[in-house]
Amino acid sequence: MSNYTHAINFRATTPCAIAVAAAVLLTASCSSSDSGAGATTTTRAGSTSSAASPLTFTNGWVKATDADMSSAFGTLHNPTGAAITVTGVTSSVSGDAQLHTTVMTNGTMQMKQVSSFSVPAKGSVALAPGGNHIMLMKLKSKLRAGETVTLTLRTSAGDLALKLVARPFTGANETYAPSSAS
Amino acid sequence: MSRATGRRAVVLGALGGVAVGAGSAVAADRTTGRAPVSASTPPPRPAFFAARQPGVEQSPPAHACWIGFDLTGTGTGTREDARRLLDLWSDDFARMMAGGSALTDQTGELTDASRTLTITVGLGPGFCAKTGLTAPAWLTPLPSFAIDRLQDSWRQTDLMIQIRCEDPIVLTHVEQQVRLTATGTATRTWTQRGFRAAPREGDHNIGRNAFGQLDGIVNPDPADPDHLIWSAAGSPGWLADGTSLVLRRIRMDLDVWAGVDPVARDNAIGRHTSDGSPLTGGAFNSAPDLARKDSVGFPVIDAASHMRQAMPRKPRERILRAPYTYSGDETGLIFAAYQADPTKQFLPIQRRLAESDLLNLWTTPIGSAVYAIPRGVQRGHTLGDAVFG
Repeated sequence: MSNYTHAINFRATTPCAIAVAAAVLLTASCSSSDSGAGATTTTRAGSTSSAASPLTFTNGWVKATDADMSSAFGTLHNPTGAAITVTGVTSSVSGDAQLHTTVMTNGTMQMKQVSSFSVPAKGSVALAPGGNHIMLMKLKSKLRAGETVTLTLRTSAGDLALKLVARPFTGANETYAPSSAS
Repeated sequence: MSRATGRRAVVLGALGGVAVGAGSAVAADRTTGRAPVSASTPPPRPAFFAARQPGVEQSPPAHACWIGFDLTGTGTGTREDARRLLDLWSDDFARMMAGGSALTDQTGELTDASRTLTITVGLGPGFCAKTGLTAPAWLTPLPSFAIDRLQDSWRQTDLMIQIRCEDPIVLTHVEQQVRLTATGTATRTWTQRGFRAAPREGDHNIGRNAFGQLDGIVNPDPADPDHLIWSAAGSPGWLADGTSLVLRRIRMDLDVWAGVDPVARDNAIGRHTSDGSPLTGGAFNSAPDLARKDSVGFPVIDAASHMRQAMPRKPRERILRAPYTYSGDETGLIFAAYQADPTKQFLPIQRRLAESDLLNLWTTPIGSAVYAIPRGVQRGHTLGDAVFG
């Protein structure tokens, strides 16, 4: 079977010195275009980070949907002097949460599951439509706009608990097509 | 009304017309003619997190848009749905007003470089009814007037978002984002888009409408010492430091107006169209002499002139006007007025104008809605908190 296919256009991202530990060709977008300048995230509509992992996660959100799959986005920051690897993700709302990247294959954008994201020392990794992201499959219920979704990122430096708010979004219309690798 | 009151209103209005947007050097430029402090010191942006919502105190920028929404839910859960929408909008509005983009925005190029963007939330009677929120007694559609030809397409809605900005492209983008975030919770009923005249020498930084009249000469003191605009100790509590918006869409018959001679035009308004001065003389901000008669015994300022009928008969019959012009298939005015209590402040004026105003010959109200503008959002909180506590 083929990989997951993105229905959205490819957006060129700036190659950063960020290695994602996946055996696929990819570019990761830099987080320098962070759009929330001056607007601090709030208790109701923001992101949280856990003390367990030194990673932080900002500008996080998940796509609201009535379907059985969705995606989560935001920016991972590593304040430490050593790279930290995100090795997996779980969520109470999803029967199958995965780390994904998006690659150009034969002229079309396709999503591929990856085994990990590496967040470089003093660096960041953006999870965005058209790039790296978290896939939430086998959703147990629809994600209503404004609803808070809890996720846990497994990292090489401990778990990172996230509370992300579901937001209406017209992009990221992935079609689910499990690959033989999944 | 007493002469003293009238004079005070006019003088304060003159000041009010030029100093509402003191917080913004761009606005100051438009309204006072003062140059910005320095090119290297950008003017402060209107604050989203503040005791009062933005978009009322600031001098009206060139472009504005109002979007009317209705909540899709009606049963139990509507309150929580509405709260979640207000919370999502909060995050969007704070980011966009800070010069950034909403989290879901993929057009990050269209941020507000003009530093004038304000986004304001208003609640209609339906919002309170559907969510169980306690409404103020005045939150009800205006009574119908004989002059009204209201169209359902511009009707009262449950919710209203007002966006104002110097940059019309940014305004368009923000409008789209506001709608996207409402998807599934509220449906758009109408969008009203308006613009204001560019500053012109001799117009005292008061915009002209499509009839050529200086519109908005008399406005309350923006410091609002008498709580004409902002509710004092609010009842209900979510209205403390809140206000109201009366939004009227008024069609203007430019074709017929084009044939009206200058004397008749000035007589209809009670002012000289050229400089805005009352027909009894003085400057644009001079008090009119309502008692003066001409040589044959008629009032110099016509009994049915717009100015005479609109002037306050009681001290509280004053409102903050920020009108915008719309144009397309037809042309008219988006009349936007802010006041603490529309029943006590706006309605008496409107009743007089509906009864007798020469301008009614060429103007027709086709839309009307009233909204409560809740208090502002404290930092670390959301619009949902401001409304529902």
